Parts: sequence; C-alpha cells; structure tokens
Amino acid sequence: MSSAEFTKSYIRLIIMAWIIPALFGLSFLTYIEILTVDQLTGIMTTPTEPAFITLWMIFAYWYFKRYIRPITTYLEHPDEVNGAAALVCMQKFPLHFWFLFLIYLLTAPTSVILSAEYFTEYVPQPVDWFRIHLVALIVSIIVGLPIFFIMLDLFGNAASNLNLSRPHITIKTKVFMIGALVPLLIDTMIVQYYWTRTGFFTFETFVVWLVLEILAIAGSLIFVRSFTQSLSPLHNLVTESPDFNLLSSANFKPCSTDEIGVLTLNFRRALDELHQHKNNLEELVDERTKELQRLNKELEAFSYSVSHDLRTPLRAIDGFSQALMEDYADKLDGTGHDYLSRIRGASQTMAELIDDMLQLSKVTRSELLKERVDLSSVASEVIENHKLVEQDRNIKINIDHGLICIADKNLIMIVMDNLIGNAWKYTGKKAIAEISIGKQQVDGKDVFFVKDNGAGFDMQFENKLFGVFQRLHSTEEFSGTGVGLATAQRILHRHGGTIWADAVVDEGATFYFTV
Amino acid sequence: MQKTILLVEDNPNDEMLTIRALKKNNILNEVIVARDGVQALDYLFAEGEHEGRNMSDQPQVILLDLKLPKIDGLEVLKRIKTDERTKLLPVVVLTTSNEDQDLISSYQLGANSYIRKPVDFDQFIKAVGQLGLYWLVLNEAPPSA
Repeated sequence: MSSAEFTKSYIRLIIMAWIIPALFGLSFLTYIEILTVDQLTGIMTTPTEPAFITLWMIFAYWYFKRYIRPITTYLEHPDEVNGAAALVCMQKFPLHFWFLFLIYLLTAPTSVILSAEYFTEYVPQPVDWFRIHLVALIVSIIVGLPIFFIMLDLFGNAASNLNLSRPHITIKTKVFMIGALVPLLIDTMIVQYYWTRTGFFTFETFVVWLVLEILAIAGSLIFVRSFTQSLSPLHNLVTESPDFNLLSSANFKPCSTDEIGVLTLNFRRALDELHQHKNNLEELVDERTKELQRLNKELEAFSYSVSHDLRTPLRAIDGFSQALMEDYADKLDGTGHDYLSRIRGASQTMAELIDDMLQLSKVTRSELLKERVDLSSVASEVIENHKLVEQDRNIKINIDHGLICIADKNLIMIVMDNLIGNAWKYTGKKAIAEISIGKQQVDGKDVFFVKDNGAGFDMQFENKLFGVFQRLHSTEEFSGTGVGLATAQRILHRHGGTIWADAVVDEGATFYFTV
Repeated sequence: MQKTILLVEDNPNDEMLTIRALKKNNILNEVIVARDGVQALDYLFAEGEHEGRNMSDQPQVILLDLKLPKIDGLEVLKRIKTDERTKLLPVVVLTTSNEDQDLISSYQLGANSYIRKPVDFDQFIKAVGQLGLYWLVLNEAPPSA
C-alpha cells in the first residue's frame, strides 16, 4: 500500500466520521418528530450550526492528518525506526479517535439546541436536551463504530510488512468496543421509543432507563469476559515472550471448547514436540562434539608419537652408520662407504619429511591469534637467515616497504619462509638470481607476491602445486619434500585467504596470495 | 674429583649414541645411566637399589629424556625441582619432541635448558659437545649442600 493511497482512504474516512453523524442525526431527529422540517431548515440556515459542523471537520482533518504522519513516513521509507514509530501511532489511535469523537458528540447536540433557541422560534423543552443527546449517541454508535473498524482494517493493511513482536491493537479491545457499545445502543433505542411514546421525562422513566443501562453494562461485561477467556491462551502466547524457544507449554492451557481452545491444544502439542526435538538435537550436538574432541585428542597423540617415536630409530640409523664409517673405515671399500652415506642421506630426508608433516598438522590444529604483521620485515628476516647459510650466492633482493596484513604472525612467517625458501632454492642455478616481494591491488584487495627468476614450472601442472608430497622437480635437481606449499595454502585458507601461482619454465615463478 | 653426568634415557641406541657423542667431544666425565624415571629418582635420592649412596655427590648435570617408562620425564623433572635436596641441580631436557606443550611444561617445571635431538648424527655430536662444554666447563654449578 502506498503512502498516497493510505492517506486518501484515511482522510475520506475521517470526513465521513464527522459529517455522516451530523446529517444522519439531524434527519433522524426530524423523522422521530423531535424537530419539524421547518425547524430543521431553520437550524440549518442559522449562521452557527453550519459553521460549527464545518469548523469541526476542518479541525478533525488537520488533527488526524498530522497524527498519522509516522505511518505515511513509514510507508514512504519502510525502515525499522519508522516502523516502530508507525506502530506506536497505530496503537494510540483508538484513544485519540474516541476522545475527539466523544467531544464532538457532546458539543454537536448542544450546538443544535443553542442554534434553535437563539436563531429560530423553536424553544426546546428540558426533555428535548436528553432526547437530542440520546439521538446523537445512537447515531454515533451506528455510524462511528463501523467507520472506526474500517480504519483499524486500513491500519492492518498498512502494517503488513511491519515487525510485529507483540499485538498493538488487541482483539480484546475490539471485542470490548462491540461488547460495551452495542448493548448500550439497543437500550438507548428502547428508552428513546418509550420516551417518544410517553412524551416526557419522569422519575419512573429515569429508573427504567437506569435499570436497563445497568443490565446492558453487566451483560456486555459478561460478554467481554467470555471472549477474553477464550482468547487468553492466544494473548499469553503473544505477550509472554517474543522468543519461541523460551515459551513454556505449561502456560498454554485451553480455556474454551471453541476453535481457539482446539488451536491452543494443537499449538501446545507442537510446542512440546519442538522442545523435544530441540533437546534431542542438543544431545546429538553434545555427543558429536565429544566425539570430535576425542578424535582431535587422538590426532594430537598421534602427531606427538610421530614426532617422538619415528625420529628415534632414524637417529639410530644415522648415528650407527656414522659410527660404522668412522670406526670401521679400514674394513669398508668405496662402495661400502657410498652405501652408508646413502643410508644417512635417506634417514635425514625422512627426518625432514616428518618435520614438514608435523608442521602441516600443527598449522591445522593451532589457534589463530591475529595481529598486525609487517610482511616486509618478516621477508627481510627470512632472507637474512638464508644469506647466513649460503653466503656466496649472487642474489638481487627487492622488498617493498609497508607490506602490512592482519594475520597470525607465527603462521604467516611459515608462509613467507616457504615461499621465499622456494624462490631461494629454485634460483640456485641462475648466475644472477632475482627475488622480489611486493604488493598489488586487485579489486580493492591487497594481493602480496613473491617473484623469482628461477627454474619456474610448466603451468600445465599448476593443479599439483599445492598437493601434499607433490613435486614438480626431481629431488636430484632441487631438494625438497613437497609439503611446503601445501602448508602455506592451508595457513592462508585458515585466514580466509588464497594462494595461486604464475610461472614460465626457466624464466621464473610468481606466487600471489591474499590474507 | 670429576663430576658425573646423569643420563636418563630408555632407548639403548640413544644411550650409546649420546655416550659416543660425549666421547667424541672429549668429555670424559663418568656417565651414570638411568633407564626409566624410577631409576633416575632412586639414584638422585639414594633410594631403592641406590640406597646408601652418598647424597652429597650429585651429578654436575642431568640429561633428561621426556618419554620414559614408569615415571615420565616431566614428572621426574617436577620431583627434582620441588625437592630441596635436588632443586639446584641443572637439568637439560634432551628429547626428540618439539611439541610446544612439552617445551612450555619443561620450562614451567624449571628445566634449565631444552634441546631437541637432531637426526643427523654430525649435528647431534655438535649439540652434545656444546652442551657438555657449557654445563661441565663454563657453567659454575651451585655449591653442593
């Protein structure tokens, strides 16, 4: 519903609420012969009565147009804040409407009588005061109540997209209006008939009227109570808690045998079932979590034992081969020495493999502690370490300044160590090696890179690059275990980043990554 | 009198290699070997099979493996460092594990040093040589009780 449509319907209804009772009331007064046609014409041609009705209409138009501004604002800009304001406005509307309407009801008959008294020859009797006010009451209920309900429905349409966490105009309110006003209307009509017939206001007629009114009010209260009782489970449901999970089925007992009673019972069953499912689910999650924790512990124990137990025999293999070479050198020929050094070489390779695998599993297990990391200084540190080990290399290093990222420092150091280590290793056969470390902007994201002019690789095998134990060069050409890039990728994935490469055989490789 | 070294090591290969490495570095101090946690504690506190040993004659340094039968290395370390009679003895954890948890626990319990045994025997000899030089020659041991 658009704001303009809403305003149009709403203003039309307000004008109807103010003009129809006036016209209908005056015609009815004539019909039941409280006023004659001449008297009515006289009253309507006085300066006061038309002015009175017109001024009231202008006032009501101005007042309510201003009043519904939060709703029209919400319809133009439907956001949460405007929605909340619109709901408050809708909630307070019955109060404002009936307050102004009742003042109108009290002043309108008075104005008719006063206009008649001052500007026409008709002189109202004291009983006419009561009769005319009663007519105003009947008319206003007959006309005002339906118009009021049409307005509530109009609000309901405008509220179709609102976030209703609790009721703003309750069914209880609506029932109360009908339950209180309709019996009042019927009684008043009976009294009106009685008075029209007897023609005067006496103590007897007053008592009859009073008894009827008391009965009507008592009856309407009973009527409202019955409805309220039926509705109470529904009312509890929407007012108790907006959170479905916090609802307790114990609070929803059917209080009637009608549709709402059945609905309450069904709702209660559904709620019980839901809670049961939820508990089952929680149990299941608990169970699975425990299972996962157990598996994780097992994995940790496994890594620990790999770290400790697999290395111990290797040390013995290496150590005793060495002892053999030293202590029994004279009993071994060249081939024997060669075999022993092969045994030592293999055991050391296996030790490296074990270390790399352990690092890979550690990377997956350890918790991420993100902080601001200066990749430029990390890169310099890694380069310095390599320079210490291999001092005679001719390498041109270029590290851009201010390469900053947010990451776990220990883990990102492993990434840089692997990437720079690779660049260092694969440029080993170049006369002049070049390694550059820098940053590019791609789609507003920082993409870091490590570029070398080394051996490169065939892009055809790109998909094997990050697999565990996958190598694109033979161990003879370049040493390595094939775990470094897998580790780097796993670290970057854990940070929500990614890594990819670009390379040309014998011209170099560039590894790009985001964190 | 030459000070002794207490080597707590359950693996006979590692025991032999460690002793060989010490010899290669010309560290000729007497090496007492304990093959599990109980033996190590018995020796240090002169209990069980070592009952009657002179308690004032304690080793200059204890080389302690972490993975030991019966009583594990961390527990041995804890008992050494919580007992008034032995808490000043330097303990070097010499192990295969480089799990962070082991490192942290060892230092928390008062280990004086933590060395991971390299697989490469040449490096192992170097490491043992350096720790022997440091703990037996350079480092001044606390005065014995």
